[in-house]
Amino acid sequence: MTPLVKGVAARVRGGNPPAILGSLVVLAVLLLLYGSVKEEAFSNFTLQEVATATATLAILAVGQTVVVISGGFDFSPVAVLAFLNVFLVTQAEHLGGSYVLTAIVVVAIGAAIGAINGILVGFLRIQSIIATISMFFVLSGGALALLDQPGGSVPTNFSLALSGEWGPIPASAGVIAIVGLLWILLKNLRFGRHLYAVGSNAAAAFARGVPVRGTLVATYAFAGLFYGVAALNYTAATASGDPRINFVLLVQLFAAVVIGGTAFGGGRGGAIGSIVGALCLILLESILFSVGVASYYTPIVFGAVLLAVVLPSAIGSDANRFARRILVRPRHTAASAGGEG
Amino acid sequence: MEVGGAHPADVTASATFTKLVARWREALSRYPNLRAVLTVWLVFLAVFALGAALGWVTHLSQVETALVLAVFALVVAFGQNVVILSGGIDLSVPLTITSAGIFMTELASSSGSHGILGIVGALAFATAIGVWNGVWVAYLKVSPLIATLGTNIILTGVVLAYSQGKPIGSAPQPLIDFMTGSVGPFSNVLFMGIIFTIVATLLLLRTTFGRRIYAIGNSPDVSYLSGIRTRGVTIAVYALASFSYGLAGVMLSGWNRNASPLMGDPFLFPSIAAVVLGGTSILGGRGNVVGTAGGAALFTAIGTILAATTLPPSTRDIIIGVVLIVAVVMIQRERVTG
Repeated sequence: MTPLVKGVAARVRGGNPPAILGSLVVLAVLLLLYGSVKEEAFSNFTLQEVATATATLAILAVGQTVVVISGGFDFSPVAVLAFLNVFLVTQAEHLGGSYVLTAIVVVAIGAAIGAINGILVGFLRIQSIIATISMFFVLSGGALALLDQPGGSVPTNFSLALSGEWGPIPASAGVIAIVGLLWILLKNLRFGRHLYAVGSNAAAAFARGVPVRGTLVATYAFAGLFYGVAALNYTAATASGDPRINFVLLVQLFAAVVIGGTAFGGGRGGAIGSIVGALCLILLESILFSVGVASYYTPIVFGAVLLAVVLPSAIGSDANRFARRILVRPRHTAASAGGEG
Repeated sequence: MEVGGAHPADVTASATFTKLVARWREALSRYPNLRAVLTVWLVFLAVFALGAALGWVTHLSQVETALVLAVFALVVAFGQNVVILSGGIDLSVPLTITSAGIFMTELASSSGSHGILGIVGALAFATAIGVWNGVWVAYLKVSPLIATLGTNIILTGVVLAYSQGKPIGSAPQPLIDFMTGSVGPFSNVLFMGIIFTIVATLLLLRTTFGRRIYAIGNSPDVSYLSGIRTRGVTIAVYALASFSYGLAGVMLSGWNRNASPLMGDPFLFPSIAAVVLGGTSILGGRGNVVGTAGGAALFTAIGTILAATTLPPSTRDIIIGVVLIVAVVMIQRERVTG
């Protein structure tokens, strides 16, 4: 076996144990803190709250993680979220009132949007940052065109189906679990192996017969699919439409991915870590709120956590690799792969 | 052309023409993104020509408004341009603009002077933010994306905590007078934009520092091995970029008469888009400020013209997204084919 195959196989099998371990330690510490400062921290009601707040962030972060593993970045998720949110609020009644059909349509649109990103990145060889920023513009305009100010509503049953309770567990937690399982499935399919191979070294993957372009389209399409699920959950939780872009959410998204142990640059990491990362951020927010820190200061803590998390791995890593790491991935890879990703 | 029987004057004319074409070809090959720069400015003019033909542009003042708005976008985009040229990216744009604006209005209203102290203080503050970014990227080897994103969200908290979400103070009167004043029919801001573009171009193309930025963007390893202190230059790059955002924050506060906690938000993605539209490679090492100015102008032109139509403002974003993709595809095609 060549080093590439070995490396990829190891990563797919083992994920990134030390990194996800780190995020689990952080989670454990936060849970202890949370349990000690929050009243009725583990009652049904507060767990429901935490699960609902985590779901949107966690599911978006799963989508972002897929893209980051492929070696790219996605700036469009918050715009996809806003667009699909107002789409649901304004167009759902045209779909005949069937929630299942509506949900399928929304998720399909998300996947289609992602596929367009993937075609731009994979086939037209546009840098992922630019492709997704363009998509960001189109969709934030599209969201405003559908609904020019916050408003509208969704039927209560729809809200309850996704943000109520499924038997003993909060529905949001169930959705997160389904998304997590879907990711594990994806990772173990051929697509998963191709994803890590393309992210590690697109040129080498291409040389070994990995369909790089197709994998990239699938990568972004799956990411879009996850954003669609997140939009369903978000809309159910807020029960209204809002075309405005939530930039703080975009930052939290990247933070969740980083805390979850997925390194920028591609080929490493996993989405389960990102879900843990998202939960950490939500718990942190809740802890700060409970101890009476004004919400103004929360972003400062988020930023400090983000920088604190990347610092040890950044210092500890091979300096030469970091010297070559510019934005997204090593230069020689991008050049020899013809600017893939 | 020079077949027998041609009139001598025709011969010289065609020779001159051939020579011009040759020189033009040479210029195009020496400055690979000259074509992108010219294209973006031509599209800018074409947008207005189209607007005039459709009756949406009826006054030259509309062109001027677009250009004035473009100056703000340009000053910001220049900062982004320098960072991208060096091979990084800067996501701390919005809050550096905002915090510089708020810092200035606070300092100016509390010091009670002509506001010079406020302006200098705000620019120094912005530059310090850039140095902080640069240290994270150059010394701590953190991805520029994360480092600047972290800086931005920290500043979000600082500004929110400080302003409690409300507009703060008011800009010093002399600054307001200057920013809203004009020389004859031309706004002062336009002259600032022209001077800024010239100085920025000279800085990038005619100074050692400028060439080092390109060198680092093309290959940090080679730059390091050829004796460039890459860390120092990287810090200077982020400092210069943040200085520009600070300058934009000061100018905007003067123009709006005050600073508000959201004033920087609309500048982040447009700054990246303007840089890319102007032909600068997102991978670094290639591009220039004149193209970025064109990108910024085109951006605001589309917005200004749409404002005169009955189309909803959201159309602007959709058009810009599509234009950006088309432009990038064209620029890449050109680089691949020659």
